Amino acid sequence: MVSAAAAVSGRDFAPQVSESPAPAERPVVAERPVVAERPVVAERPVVAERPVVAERPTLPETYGRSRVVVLAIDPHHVHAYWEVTPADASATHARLDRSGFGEPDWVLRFHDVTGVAAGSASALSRFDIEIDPDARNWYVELWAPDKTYLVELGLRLANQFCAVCQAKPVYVPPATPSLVLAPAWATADLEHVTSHALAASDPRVPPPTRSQTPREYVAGSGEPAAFAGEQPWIAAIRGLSAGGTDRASGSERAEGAARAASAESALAADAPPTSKTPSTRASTPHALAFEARGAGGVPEPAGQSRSVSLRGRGAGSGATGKSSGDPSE
Amino acid sequence: MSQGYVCLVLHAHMPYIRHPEHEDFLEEGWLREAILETYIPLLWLLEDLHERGVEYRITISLSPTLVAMLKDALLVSRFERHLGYLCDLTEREVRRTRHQPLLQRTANLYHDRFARARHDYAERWGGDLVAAFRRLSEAGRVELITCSATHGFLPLMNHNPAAVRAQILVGVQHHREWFGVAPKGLWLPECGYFPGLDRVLAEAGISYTFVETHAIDHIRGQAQYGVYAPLCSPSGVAFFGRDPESTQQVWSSVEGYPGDPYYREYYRDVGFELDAKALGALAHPLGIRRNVGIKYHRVTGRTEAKEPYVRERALERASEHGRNFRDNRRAQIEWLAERMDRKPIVVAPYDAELFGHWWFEGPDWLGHVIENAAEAPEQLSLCTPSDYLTAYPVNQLATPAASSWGYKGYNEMWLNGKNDWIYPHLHEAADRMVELAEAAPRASGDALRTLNQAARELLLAQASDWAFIMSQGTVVAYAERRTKEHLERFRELAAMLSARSFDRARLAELEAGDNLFPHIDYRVYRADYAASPPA
Repeated sequence: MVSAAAAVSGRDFAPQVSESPAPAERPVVAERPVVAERPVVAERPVVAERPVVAERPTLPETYGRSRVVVLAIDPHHVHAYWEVTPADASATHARLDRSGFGEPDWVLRFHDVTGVAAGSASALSRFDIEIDPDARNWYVELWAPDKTYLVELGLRLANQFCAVCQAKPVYVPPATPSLVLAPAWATADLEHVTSHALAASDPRVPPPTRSQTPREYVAGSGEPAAFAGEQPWIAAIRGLSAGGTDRASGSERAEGAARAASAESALAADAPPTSKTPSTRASTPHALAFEARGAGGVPEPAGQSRSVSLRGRGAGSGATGKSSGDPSE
Repeated sequence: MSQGYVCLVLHAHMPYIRHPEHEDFLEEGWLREAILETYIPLLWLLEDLHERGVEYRITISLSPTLVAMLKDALLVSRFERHLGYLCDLTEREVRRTRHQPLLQRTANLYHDRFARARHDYAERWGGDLVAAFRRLSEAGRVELITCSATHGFLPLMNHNPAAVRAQILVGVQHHREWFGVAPKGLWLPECGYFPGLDRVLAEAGISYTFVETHAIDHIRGQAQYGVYAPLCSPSGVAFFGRDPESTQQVWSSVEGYPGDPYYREYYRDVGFELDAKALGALAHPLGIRRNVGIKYHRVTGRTEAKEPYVRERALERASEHGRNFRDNRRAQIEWLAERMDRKPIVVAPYDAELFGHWWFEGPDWLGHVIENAAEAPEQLSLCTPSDYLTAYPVNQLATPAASSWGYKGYNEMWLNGKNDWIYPHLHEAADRMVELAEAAPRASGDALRTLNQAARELLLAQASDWAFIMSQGTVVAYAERRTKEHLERFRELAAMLSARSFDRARLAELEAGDNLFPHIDYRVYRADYAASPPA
């Protein structure tokens, strides 16, 4: 089994198809090893990308039972994967009354069950996503975060729907601070401490303190202000894109803050899916804070353009304060 | 008395990579690099501070897979051998650079450093870094916490809650085995949190964990103190939110400290510059280039023309950056303290491997941060979450919002078009494991061994590292191979159990290969399994 295991591609294995023994020591002047002396190897482009020589049993394509699983990716996206056995597919087709209706569609039927007790028959609303059943998985863009969905996979024909299977409820997380202020939060406190700059909604008030970047710090101490800039490995190990595309757009953040201040806008959050694109969805709040201040036209002090102040003030809606029911001291 | 607290957290983790079947396995080198460049320098620093009587408190999470590897005889012996090769190389490098005085000074730095590491690893620590960390913990300087068993990303595992529970419970048990005490805290892999996870942590006896900033900011209602005081879930677990400001200063790929032009450049390694003869035993048998950890240049700037590294200059910068960090935290704490009716806590968690491995001067910077705090405790003091919870046992009642500290703050790094294929198989295996465990309340003999090994294979397949690597596109073939192999081994073992026919030779082979968690109990996947009693 060990040799079979080695046949699966990895960077470090002895070539499986080569009969010739490896030279004891090969010149390593190029980044890639010299392979010309080994014709069997030479037809492969690089050693690190040897093709998989499939010998050991691979994972099965299917597991022989119908199921659909829906996983949240972020506040605006879920991923669904499924398997429908041929028997279940034909049985479901057979259950449909097909007289005069043409061909049925495979759909993922999303029931919004946010806040609905388990087992309750009534969902708040529903929508269907048409899918290609052979795709076996699908990415679905949503428009309203902080929701719980119950998803069924089934066949739809006119007003008939026959489900093959149902996923466990999937919860998509909130994308912004909660619009729900607990009733107990009564006392207005504009100095309420939050870790992200809701100050974006109130550009008149600069944040009280801010960190100096190394550049500023060095400049302040009379040192050379040279700054090397980006180290790609930092981005690499955190999985952040070096170009900063992980940052949500400022407009999105400003939009979120505006929404928090406006009940009408909150209603607009239930607009159709066309109102959102994935590239503008919310991200980590500290990133948002920076972008929002920049995009919102808050003047940056000269020479401090890189700094990020992450401490903000109370929400623009103003209804913050200490909960009387709060157990803290 | 201080106005507030800074809570430094280092999360040390490496995926379980151990290939006895290969003499020189490329990915196995990751652990050697981390030991030599991060764990040993951290121990030097923390032990030195302790011996000098500096009073400090720092939290370090050691993932169970990392602990298992640090204790593994084969990997320890291979590290020692590797260090010997490196010491030989540095001697040759000192000679080679004799006409380049600036480079030779750096060559001497590596020479002395590696020689000291070699000596201390063998003589001072006896090849057991886990015990060294444990001693610091017992001395009251370091608070050691654990992580889930194999660093599985829990939000995408919750399809089967029993699988999440097993990851947590095995991690906690493993910590108890090695450190003699139950961990008070647990580092959630990638800060991945989903609502309901708090109850699993509570069941495992975990008092606190850490979450990303927006996990606190997006709670239902509002967090009274933002991330500057923990939340407490109804199940009694405290959640400390990451401070974005101190994060940015160290982590930012654009303006973070490690990008300073005087710091050592990571990407100019002699492993890519010297020929095989010069590299000697460190040259890969297939000629594949790799880092050996000897680098002569500094970051310099946005240029390929890198200038020579000057250690003294870099250390000055580390000192300046240490003061900068202290000053910024002090200003932050002053501002917060005026507005809070309790002392704020600024939680600054980092991957441990950032320090030393990626950011060569990171441990020096950390030393300055610690010493600066110790010199002026009236301004801020270092604390661990346990210290804080002792001082402030009552905290705002709320549960965090679903989140992670990865790309975009949620699950996308571990679920996208590059790695989504793993989840049908991982979920199927988890379901199967639970079925097998539920069907066997008291397995014994071959069935017991097979069930335990199946649990190990499932846990190894679930490591978040594989999905991460697939997303990053670095050593994708290896990550795919590991995922498939463990899942296939799991299926093989499950088939043995179904057929009640055990291939003992194969079982022994798998036990010897994937040998972590020697005391694992497969019943951890059973609903009636009781989390171990408090130590």
